[in-house]
Amino acid sequence: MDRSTSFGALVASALIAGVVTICAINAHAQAASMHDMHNMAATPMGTGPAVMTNTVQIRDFSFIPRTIVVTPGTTVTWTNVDDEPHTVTANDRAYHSAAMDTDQTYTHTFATAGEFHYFCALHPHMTATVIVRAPGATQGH
Amino acid sequence: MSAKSEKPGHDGVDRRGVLRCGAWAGAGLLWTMAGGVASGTVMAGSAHAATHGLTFVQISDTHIGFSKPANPDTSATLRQVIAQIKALPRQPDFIVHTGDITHLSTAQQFDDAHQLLQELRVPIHYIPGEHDTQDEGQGREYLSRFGRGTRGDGWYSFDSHGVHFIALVNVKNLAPGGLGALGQDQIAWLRDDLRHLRSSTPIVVLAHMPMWSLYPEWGWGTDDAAAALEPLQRFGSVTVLNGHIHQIQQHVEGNITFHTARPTSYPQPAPGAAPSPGPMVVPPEQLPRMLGMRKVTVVPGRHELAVTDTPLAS
Repeated sequence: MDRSTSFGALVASALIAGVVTICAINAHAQAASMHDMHNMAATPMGTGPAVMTNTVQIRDFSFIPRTIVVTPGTTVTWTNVDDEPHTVTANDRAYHSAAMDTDQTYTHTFATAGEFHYFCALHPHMTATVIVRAPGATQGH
Repeated sequence: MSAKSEKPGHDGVDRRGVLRCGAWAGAGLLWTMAGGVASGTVMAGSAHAATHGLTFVQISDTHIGFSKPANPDTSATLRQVIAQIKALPRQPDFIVHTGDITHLSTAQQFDDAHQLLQELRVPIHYIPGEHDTQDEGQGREYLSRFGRGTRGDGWYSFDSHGVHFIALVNVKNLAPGGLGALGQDQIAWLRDDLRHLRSSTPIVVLAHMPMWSLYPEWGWGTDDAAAALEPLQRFGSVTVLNGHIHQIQQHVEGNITFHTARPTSYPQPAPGAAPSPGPMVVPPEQLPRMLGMRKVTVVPGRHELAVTDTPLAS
């Protein structure tokens, strides 16, 4: 009896945790479909929930979603919807966009697996991450 | 800023400050007490004060090329500010432009800005904002047009009427997750530049981004500002003028007074007052109250600078 009660509590906690996570994703990435939800990846520290998508919106001085997961060879598209220009600039400056004005886009193809951190060179407090991972690869962090 | 350096009289009233305040008011300028900034158009009669020392004007954040709802015509508002400066009873000795001359660093925008600003017909000392270093050469367009004869990414110093001016660049080589940055080379140059100066020399520092932690959540600060301000601590009068945040803010740290300036282009929200610091749309009749220029007067023998911010309309 005690054992089954605590098991029930554990399941309930897990469900609550799941609901909270989904809410967090909805808040951070309205574009993500329900289909994507089970594909949530492990999250690097402090970068928000990771979302499987190849499109990133730049809005209110934020990259949304802040962490995305793609497979090798994927082309990622960024669109700036702010009235302020922004850039997509790799932390190591390996690639970078020009200053993108309102509604301008930038694309970059991620050929190899890895974790790629980038920021806005105009507003460097804006930071985000692209995780490139082969399908079925373990989500080790 | 005068309040902190003046000894109050027996009745607790700062007599010299009061006298000075009256003198400035009589001369058509509103004196700023304790870092406060007077606003309003008080041009008539100011020639008397100006003839005794140095007068210069600060403009900032012209953002030529910007045409969004927050200001569909930044060239027109810059023209109005230029007319405001040309209407001063005595022309300033020079102008300082504290950056974001253009919106997107294009050759066309630099050309247009130059075309407009040369109407001022007085020397202009520039520093770049982060919007001026977005060309393919990461600032080469700016340096070739406005930064000739400067060092590094465009820093330099000059002297006028016994005042030492230092123009800093804190918008280059910004680090991911960081704020504005000066870098070790520039700070080493600054230390060397200050070494030969007497501590009584008034110092004016120009920078684009704020040199104090104004609102780091929006990137409004400079990571290595403390290292740059340290060698300035021995000076009796240090005034830091910057732009970037498109609104007036003041701050005092020991002997150093900080002033951010109004833009000539478009306003931005007060720190934390909006989801982001993006261009702020206001009713058209309000816009001229949020744009303008700053006149600074330095009178020999006086410790503090008279700083007067004048909007396009009050």
